[in-house]
Amino acid sequence: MRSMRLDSSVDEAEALRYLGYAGQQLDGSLMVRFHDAAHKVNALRPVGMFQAFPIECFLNDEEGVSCGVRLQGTPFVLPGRDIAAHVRGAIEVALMAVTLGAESEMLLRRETALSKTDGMLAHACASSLVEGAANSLSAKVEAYAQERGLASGDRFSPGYGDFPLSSQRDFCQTLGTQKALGLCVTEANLLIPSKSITAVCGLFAQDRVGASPCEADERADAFRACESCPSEGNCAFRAEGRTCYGS
Amino acid sequence: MAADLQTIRIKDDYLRQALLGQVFLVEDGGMGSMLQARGLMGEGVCPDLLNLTAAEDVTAIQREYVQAGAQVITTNTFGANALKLAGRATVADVYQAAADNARAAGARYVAGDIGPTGSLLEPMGSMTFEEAYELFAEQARAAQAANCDLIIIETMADLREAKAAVLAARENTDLPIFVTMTFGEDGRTFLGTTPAIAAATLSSLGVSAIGLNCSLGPEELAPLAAQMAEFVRCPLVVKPNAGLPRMQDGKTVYDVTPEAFAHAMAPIIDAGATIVGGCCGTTPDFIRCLSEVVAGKMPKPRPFPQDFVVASAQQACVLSAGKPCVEVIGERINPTGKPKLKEALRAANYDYLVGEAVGQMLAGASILDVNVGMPELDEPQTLRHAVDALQATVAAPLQIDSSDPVAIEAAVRGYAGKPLINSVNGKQENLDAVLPIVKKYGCSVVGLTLDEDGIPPTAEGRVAIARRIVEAAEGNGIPRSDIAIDCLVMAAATNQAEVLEILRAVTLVKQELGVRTVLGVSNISFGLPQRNMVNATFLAAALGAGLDMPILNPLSARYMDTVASYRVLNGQDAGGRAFLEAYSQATDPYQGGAAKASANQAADTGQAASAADDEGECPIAVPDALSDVAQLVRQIVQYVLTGRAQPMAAATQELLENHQPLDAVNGVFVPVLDVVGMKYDRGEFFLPQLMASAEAVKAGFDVVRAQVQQGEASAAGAANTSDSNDADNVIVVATVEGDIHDIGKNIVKMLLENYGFRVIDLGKDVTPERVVRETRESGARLVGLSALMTTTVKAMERTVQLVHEQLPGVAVMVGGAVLTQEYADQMGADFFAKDAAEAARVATRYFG
Repeated sequence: MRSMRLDSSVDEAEALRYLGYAGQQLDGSLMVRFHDAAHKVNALRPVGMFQAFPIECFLNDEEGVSCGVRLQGTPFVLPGRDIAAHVRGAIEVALMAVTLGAESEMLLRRETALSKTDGMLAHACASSLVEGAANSLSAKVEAYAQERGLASGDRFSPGYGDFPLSSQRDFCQTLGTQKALGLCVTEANLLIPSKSITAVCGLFAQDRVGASPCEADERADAFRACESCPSEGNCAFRAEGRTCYGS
Repeated sequence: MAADLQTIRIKDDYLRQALLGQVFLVEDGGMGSMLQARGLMGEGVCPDLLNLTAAEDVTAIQREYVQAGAQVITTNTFGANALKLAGRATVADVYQAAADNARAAGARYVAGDIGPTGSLLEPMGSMTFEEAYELFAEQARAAQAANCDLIIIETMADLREAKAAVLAARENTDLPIFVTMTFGEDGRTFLGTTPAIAAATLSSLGVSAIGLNCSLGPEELAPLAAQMAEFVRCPLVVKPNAGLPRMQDGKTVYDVTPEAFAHAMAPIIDAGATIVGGCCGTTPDFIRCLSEVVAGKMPKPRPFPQDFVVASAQQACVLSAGKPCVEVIGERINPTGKPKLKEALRAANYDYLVGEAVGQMLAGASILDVNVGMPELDEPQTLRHAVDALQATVAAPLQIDSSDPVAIEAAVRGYAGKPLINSVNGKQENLDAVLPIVKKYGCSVVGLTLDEDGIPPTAEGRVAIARRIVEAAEGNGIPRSDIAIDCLVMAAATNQAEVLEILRAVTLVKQELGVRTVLGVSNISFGLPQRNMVNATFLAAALGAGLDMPILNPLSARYMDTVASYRVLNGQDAGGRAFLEAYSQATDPYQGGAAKASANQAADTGQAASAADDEGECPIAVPDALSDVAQLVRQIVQYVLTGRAQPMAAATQELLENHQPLDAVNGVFVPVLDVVGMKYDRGEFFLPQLMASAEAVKAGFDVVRAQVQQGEASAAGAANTSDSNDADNVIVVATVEGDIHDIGKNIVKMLLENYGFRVIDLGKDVTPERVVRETRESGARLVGLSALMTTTVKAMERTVQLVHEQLPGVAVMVGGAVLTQEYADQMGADFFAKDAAEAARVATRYFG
């Protein structure tokens, strides 16, 4: 599959929020540095890809609960109750991946070497940029769905709920992200370049989509995924209104 | 066209002619889709193992290619490295079977195929250059043992990985090596390498053929092939896909027909490709049509590229043959006379070098000199680390500056690109030691006009040495287009008669030897007043004499003004566009008392003025010892609270003129840091504000430390400036194994340093064993561990246990987004710090 360029720009309010900004009085020089970081990060060129697979069947565990989704045309099974619930009722699922590319790694390393503060600001801006790129890819998935008379649901990523991070490797191999995007998975199942997002998105019959969570509910939905997380209840991200998969 | 044919084993005359670019050579097409069509690629099948389990099918496919006209059959071993085979078969067995299959198919030439390792190399990934080399070396040896006729390294996206593979094949076999890289639609690899950079780098490494394969169809590859052809010193290989892939009914399909493919290859062949074939989606029909295109034709001779190239993986500095071109080599990464850089190198603080690199790039340097020569350092290791740190962070190509051949080799071996080696000289011993390294690693080189008898005083004497260097280089197979000569500047104050001789020598070496020229400009003014003025005048004269690459301090606007003006005069700046843009608003430094000449400096001044010293509340009491400079202290407090490092350094300098370092540290820095920590705790500051304040304090500390080192302060000050080697204030910090998030750890490190602790930062993704080793070696009594993810908390626990087990008396402090006091207790950590400010308090209590 081919990669595509994705439009995105840093959402400064969102990037500040990633940094824990809560209305503190800001000195002008720090804002200058922040804008400078956003400017550098905006020069990056996000790319992404997606591929839709028809759902072959749902797998059930011994309690009769759906615990996995088998896709047609690939041996990759989406594991976990949460992902099964997320795409229940879908006809197809789209596997999606976006990345800011190797250039982002070099930029972040450079900014961090020059100043830890600037590096941190650039990291937050890059997280916002890749989030925007994922939204941009979601719009393309939605357009694809519409062509087929379907409508797309929300994104759900490895690492959410009980959809294990360890499925990153098969996910990326199924999509061919290394060849198409230069996106790889580390031994510890993290994405490299680090400013990358992989996600699953259900494609539903249009009359069904209302029943599934919509874009506006994305954050609320994300928190629902936290409910099955082992850190639920003592998560420092949640305390700040964020999630660990924010970037 | 091709060099180095005498050192490799070439099967027959036709292949020899092909390696000289005199005849076409046709390779085969795709293998994966052919295996799929035969139903062999079921779930979880490793295609490389099919050589053993479905040998007849593999041979049958390859026979179809032979019948279609393919002269080279690549073995079905794209992924056959030890890592990917994972013990299911030995690398040797797979290559043996694969080569047997290809021979059984009737292949005229059997090419041992080597694909990427499948893992990312450092700095993006965790595989080291040496690990990649070892994997490739095993494959190359297996290919040679299996009687392959050549080695094909293909589909490389990382120039550094390609270089590891080429070196592995070169050092372990005597076979011809073809190497092809894969590019995206934007004309670059994922790591930002252009076809021109790949061509210049790889063909200098002395491979037999290089080119492109995969990713794109022939139409998209044509312009990239043309870019490559300009810089390729050997035959050009092009093996496109059958167009761009798209999905249809869950399968990857390609839209280009065999006929259209062959048709689209014509411009690629016109551009100079003489070795052609296909990649993904191409079948024997494609190869049949392609064979017909080249059948009975003879390649057009292609001129040997004459450009002088120095390149990193992302950026090339090209001095085109016959075109006027001046490029600046930045000299600032050199410890001579730079105490701060010396200190950074001693502390292995390569971030400082990155700062110097970025500053010089912004000021207009095209190449950066890297010299780390200090008697107390292990130069090979330091140079290598410095070069690795720089190539991971800045795009400018590097000049490796050392007189130690061992250090040079250590630095250039793993360099992704074509570096410039500085230097070789006319001494026979030196020529013998350095030139083979230049050749082996495909570098450009600076030759110094000195020999056993020193530096000749006349132009003719210098030219004679330059000629010997050029001849010796050519004798080693290094073309003169890779050579730049440094005619060596002497001080006008001591060798006045030589100045014009130096300039004449520059003109002569260019005219007579056809090489590029380099000069370290600033030596000229040694012993004179107004050195910059003299240097700039000499620079202008040298450029007029034919100097191509001045080595200078690009941060001096005066030199860059001269370079920018000269580029208008020599026509390099066409229409003076760059000059007009930079200087149309600039003021003349000699008129109207204007302080600054260059546009850059004007901008700097504006910035400084805008950072006005607006005064806010002062939350600390000015100590008695500093009461005479209360105003300055309040200003410093503001700089810290607003996180402004630059004015902080200057203000600290001023404060220390008449006051003790200890008063600055204990009376100002520490109290204001406490205020910052409090503000952060109360939510009045958010994290970047805490960081910026910490960086400002660090800038102040750096000034204090420099002063203490100069012996201008009491020994008491040293204890609090993290300069002491006393293990009583040493802390090791690391992000645990498997975790690559290091922002939190970086903040902790900075704050701990602010409070005077010496911090040994092991980085991220650090194994428990390494934490123990480094802690033991440093004698540190406190270890700080960070983990961001729930999945890596396990690794943290293992690290805590190993430290406690092996290093009794060493305490561990843990922190990170998902940690709590409860978790910390469960894993047996001694301390939990919820944030950086708390970490500093924990450490203060622990050592206090």
